[in-house]
Amino acid sequence: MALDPKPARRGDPTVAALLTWFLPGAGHAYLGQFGLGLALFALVDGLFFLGLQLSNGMTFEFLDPELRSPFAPVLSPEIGNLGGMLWQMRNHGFGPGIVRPFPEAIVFGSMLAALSGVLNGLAMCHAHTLARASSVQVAHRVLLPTAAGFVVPGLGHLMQGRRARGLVVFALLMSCFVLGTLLAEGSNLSRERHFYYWAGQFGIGLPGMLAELAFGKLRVTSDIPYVDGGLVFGCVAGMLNLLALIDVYGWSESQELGLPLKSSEPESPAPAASKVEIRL
Amino acid sequence: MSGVLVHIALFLLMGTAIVTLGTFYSDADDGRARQAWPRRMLGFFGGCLVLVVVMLVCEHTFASLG
Repeated sequence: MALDPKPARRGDPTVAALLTWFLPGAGHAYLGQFGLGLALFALVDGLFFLGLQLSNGMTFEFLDPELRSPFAPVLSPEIGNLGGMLWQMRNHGFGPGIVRPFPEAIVFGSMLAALSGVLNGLAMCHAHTLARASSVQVAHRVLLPTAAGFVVPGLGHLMQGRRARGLVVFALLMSCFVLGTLLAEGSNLSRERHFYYWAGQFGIGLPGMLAELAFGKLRVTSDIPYVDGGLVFGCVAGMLNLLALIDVYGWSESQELGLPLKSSEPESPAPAASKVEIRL
Repeated sequence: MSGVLVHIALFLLMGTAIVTLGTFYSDADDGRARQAWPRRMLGFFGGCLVLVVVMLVCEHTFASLG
């Protein structure tokens, strides 16, 4: 990958990211990219409100009554789209306080709303990079592998040419997720049953969403011996993929913007400069 | 006994995933990550072993019903 030839600051990266968090696309508009900002707004909030429509705004009613508080939904993927989540809490909240049937499409709707949170998180990263990059293309190149890592764990590393790392990430995370699903006999795929475990597991990306669409409505007819282990495996796999995504993002950023690579090992001391004697 | 073995096997897999991804997160360079991985594995599982011993000692002393 080529180094960004003219790194320039278009605006404050933190302000751009925070604006995007509150309103998708606002950070890009702040950086002068109005068209891109509008497209992101349409995509992220379009998905969010479609999900809200399909779920009738009842996603947070999955939470048991004793878990409901103003901060209870903070640990859900929707937090990535803060403005949307606040809107949902204000207009729907935890429902009227009576038990009522969930709409037929609530699984898909709830998934779309959660997906909008993840997409807005990616948009925040894009805005943060764009504020420091010389062109939109540079920001695209930084973000594309990160988004790919959400589609399939390890794919972002593969796109960066880090094959061994990508394969290890894929093998470890997918084996944890599949094993977790087998141990929990598919009950981990239900957001209604395990709201918070599901939130962590959502980080595994597209494989998790496809598995939920295919097996998310399995009935639990008997005691599941290793359900706790299964839930932990699925949840940890999703959260570890978020670490992998940060690694992908950091690598792309260092390649494109010329930033130092992250390392826990101390840098070896630079060789001492040779003495130059000047004789008059 | 087989239940204990299953739990140990599951813990080893989960621990390996956590340590490996933690190493990747800390070290972006593959060479450095490969160097640091055995030490991190040893630290994680050694620490867990110490914790298990402490918990067993507590269980058989302070929390012992006998």
